[in-house]
Amino acid sequence: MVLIFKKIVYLLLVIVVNLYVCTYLANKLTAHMELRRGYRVSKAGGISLPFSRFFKYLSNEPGINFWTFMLFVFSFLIWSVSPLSASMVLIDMDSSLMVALLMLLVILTLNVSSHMLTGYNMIMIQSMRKTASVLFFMIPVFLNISGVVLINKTLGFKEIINSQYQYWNVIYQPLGFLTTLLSVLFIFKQFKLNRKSEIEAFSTDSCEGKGLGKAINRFSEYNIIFVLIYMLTVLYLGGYQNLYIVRGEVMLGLKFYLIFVIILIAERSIAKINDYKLIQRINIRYILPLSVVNFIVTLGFFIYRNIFGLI
Amino acid sequence: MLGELYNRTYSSPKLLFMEKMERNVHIYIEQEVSRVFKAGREILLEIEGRNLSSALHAFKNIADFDLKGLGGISFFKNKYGPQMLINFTGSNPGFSLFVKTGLDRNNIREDYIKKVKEISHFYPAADFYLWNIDSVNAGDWDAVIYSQTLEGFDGFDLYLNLEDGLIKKLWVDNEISRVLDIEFLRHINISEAITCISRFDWQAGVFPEIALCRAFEEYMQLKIPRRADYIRVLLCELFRIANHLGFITGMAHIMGFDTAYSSSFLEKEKVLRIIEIITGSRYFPNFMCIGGIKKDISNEVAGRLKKQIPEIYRNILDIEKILMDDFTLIERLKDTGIIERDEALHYGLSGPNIRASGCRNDLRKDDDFISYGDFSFTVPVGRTGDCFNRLVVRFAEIYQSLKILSQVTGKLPVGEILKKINPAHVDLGRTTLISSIECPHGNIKVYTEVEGNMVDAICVMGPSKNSLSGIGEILRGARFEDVDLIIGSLDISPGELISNSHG
Amino acid sequence: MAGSILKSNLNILVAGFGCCKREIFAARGPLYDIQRFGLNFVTVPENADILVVQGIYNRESLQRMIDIYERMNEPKWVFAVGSCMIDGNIFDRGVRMLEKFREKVKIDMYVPGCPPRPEAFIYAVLKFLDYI
Repeated sequence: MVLIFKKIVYLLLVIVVNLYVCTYLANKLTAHMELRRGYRVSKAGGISLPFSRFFKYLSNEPGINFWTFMLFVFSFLIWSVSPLSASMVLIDMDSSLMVALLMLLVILTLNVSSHMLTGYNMIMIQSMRKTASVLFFMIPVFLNISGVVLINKTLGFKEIINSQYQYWNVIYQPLGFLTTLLSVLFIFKQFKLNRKSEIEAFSTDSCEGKGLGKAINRFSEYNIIFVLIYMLTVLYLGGYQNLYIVRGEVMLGLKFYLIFVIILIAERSIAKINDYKLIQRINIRYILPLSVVNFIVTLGFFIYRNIFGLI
Repeated sequence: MLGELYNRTYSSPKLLFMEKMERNVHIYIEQEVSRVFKAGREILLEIEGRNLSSALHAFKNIADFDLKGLGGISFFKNKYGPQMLINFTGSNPGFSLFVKTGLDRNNIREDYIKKVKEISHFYPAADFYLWNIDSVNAGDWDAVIYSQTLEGFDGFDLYLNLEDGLIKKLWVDNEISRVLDIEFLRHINISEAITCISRFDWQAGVFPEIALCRAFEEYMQLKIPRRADYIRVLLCELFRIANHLGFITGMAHIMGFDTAYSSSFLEKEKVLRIIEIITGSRYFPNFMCIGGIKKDISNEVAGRLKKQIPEIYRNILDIEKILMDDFTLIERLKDTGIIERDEALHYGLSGPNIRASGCRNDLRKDDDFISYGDFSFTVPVGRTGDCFNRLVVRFAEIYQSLKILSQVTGKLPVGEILKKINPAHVDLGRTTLISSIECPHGNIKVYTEVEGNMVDAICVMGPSKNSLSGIGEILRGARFEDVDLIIGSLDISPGELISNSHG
Repeated sequence: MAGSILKSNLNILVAGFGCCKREIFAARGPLYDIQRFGLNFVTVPENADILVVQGIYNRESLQRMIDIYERMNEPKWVFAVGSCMIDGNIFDRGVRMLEKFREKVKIDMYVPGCPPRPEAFIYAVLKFLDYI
């Protein structure tokens, strides 16, 4: 019992620290990409910004409905099946990858429903459009994940990580890694992590405001990106595999932030795509075909190796 | 026409157009017109209300008139009562004809609406100038974009009817930008008017100032010193660059391209800094006066400007490379918001917007208004008239403006900057002055009625109004996501939308 | 506590039809960078702490402005920016449109200029932060 409680505390701590660092990085790095200085009202480079933003959310009466509560629950629940190290996992199950993907879909759909009660038509339409584009980019992600599953012949995170003890999956699946990274980049583009105000009506509503419901909503948006980057690290880059004397947890953190920073910088240097037609065109023309090719080639190898035993 | 121009009978195509138009008026509609008046470099006809319909019929149907588009309709009040000013443009939007007609003093509103409907029978673009129709309510429309909701697009509400995300029908309501005639500052003298007029163009305030000053200079037959003329050209081009860079900044912002946004914003601030050093203000220079300019520019400033031109040129090339290399951006811009050449002419579009549709005309070339004839530059022209062309044409115009700037700073003449005339001592009598100038958005036309040294009535007909009236045509069939992109690509300066209304 | 949180995290809504808007939004760009003081621009009235009023008004837009003000959550403040709001600029002194607005809304800060420079606006906001 104590062990589980300890694990929960650790998990919460990791999530909070991660939120803090990512909020800070998103603000500072994007400001530097836009030739600005970024937030620095207090000394030491404005390290208090994530705190002040969090307290601002809490400064209003907590308006929280059932859907927002469910969003909160699932946002934490998704981490219970994802191992952060060999022992740091709450629920150790065989098909943890499947469960995590399902929960991700639940978070994505709940994200819309929490916007429905804001009272503005425009906000609801925009959040629905956002979720639709995110779901559209999830298709290549699913294809690539099934490719990884075919290679490792398992549905659990742990087994996938353990099977990468010699070579990371990115060596077997370079195309899959690339398309997943691109999809995550375009999904990232849909959620605004920096505070820059946009020209579009009500676009600031997703990241500003007061009340606990707003904070949970914002947290879930961060969470979707965290989970996607975590999956990228685990499925392709070896997860918490040790590197010589460097510990696995440290390696996982390093890889996570490396991908986060790469995506953050890449996101600043491409144009915003809030256009559903254009998203379809990009996805159908470039990302989806590549991932389909990747999947078919993997499937071919799988059939030859395991069914006919040729390779 | 070419022969006459070649033999230098007329100094510019615009004067030739005026001669032709005056001749046509005398031949075809002598009976309808009560007075033909040459106000500065434009022709003004005074037509009585009952004759308006037959005159319009003649304009539309007689080929010699060649008046294809509607430049604008304005309402104002002078000493004699409420008046209506209608502007018709030819196949070159710079060449236009003004018609003034009186309105019924007792029911101004009804008379105005009746006359606008009469005009819209011949020129459908006139529907835009109708005053608030009470029958419109927000419930009949699928989406309403209020003026506050989109940043930078002020002064009008958009009512949209959608079908599968495509815009089927729309209506522009510019109620918010209409100010009652009694609310404007009245009884001002000429110098005050020159100071105030720049408030009608929020992006490039120098152009209405120069237009008004040139109107008086044209009337008084005043030849201004060459140095003052060159500095006017210099300021015009600086403002043009600043405006176009502001346009690129806005487009980059709409498309969420923050790298391009930041770098073009910095360039714009650089140009605005030069303008501020010269005039003392960033947007409203208050720098022109009748007979020249108020302050000389020092050699130091000219040298600094000369040094900065290559730097700005290189940076803008970089911005263009960043923007044009992005395939997602080009996919979004191409074939979006297309307006054909003939439709654009009908709505009276001018400036870069019509040049993007493939119509080569520029008042800087067609009129010897300021001494643009001394400098070599070309007029960039687009082909299809979509958002991409409008962006490309503006980039090309910046390069041409930089070319003019380097020529001006290279051969800035030495001498006086002001023909000393005190407007307070000049009694102009009662007269009407009109002048137009190529501002960054198009042709801005300034109509003034002067009595003594006091201004009786003043009217600014901005090109942004024409662009806005054409929005119905451009947006029809476009996708709902592209509304802000298309409006942004038309470069609407909200200050020009301010107009008079009654009641 | 609440004051210090607000101080480092103010949301500004710019309303009205005027050229000062252009200069205020220029403060968001790389050269002036208003966000280093924790100030951000929003478009939804419920999220805003400061309402910036500027530019010209007719009856319709005055009503809209008051609607926006009423939809904002407490605590809320109003800035009047530009000479149109302060002395009427090119509008007739006899109309007193601004007086009608002042009857209903308390204005906390005036920023003069036509239009005021971005630095002037940032300076006004920073001055105002000391009073919260």
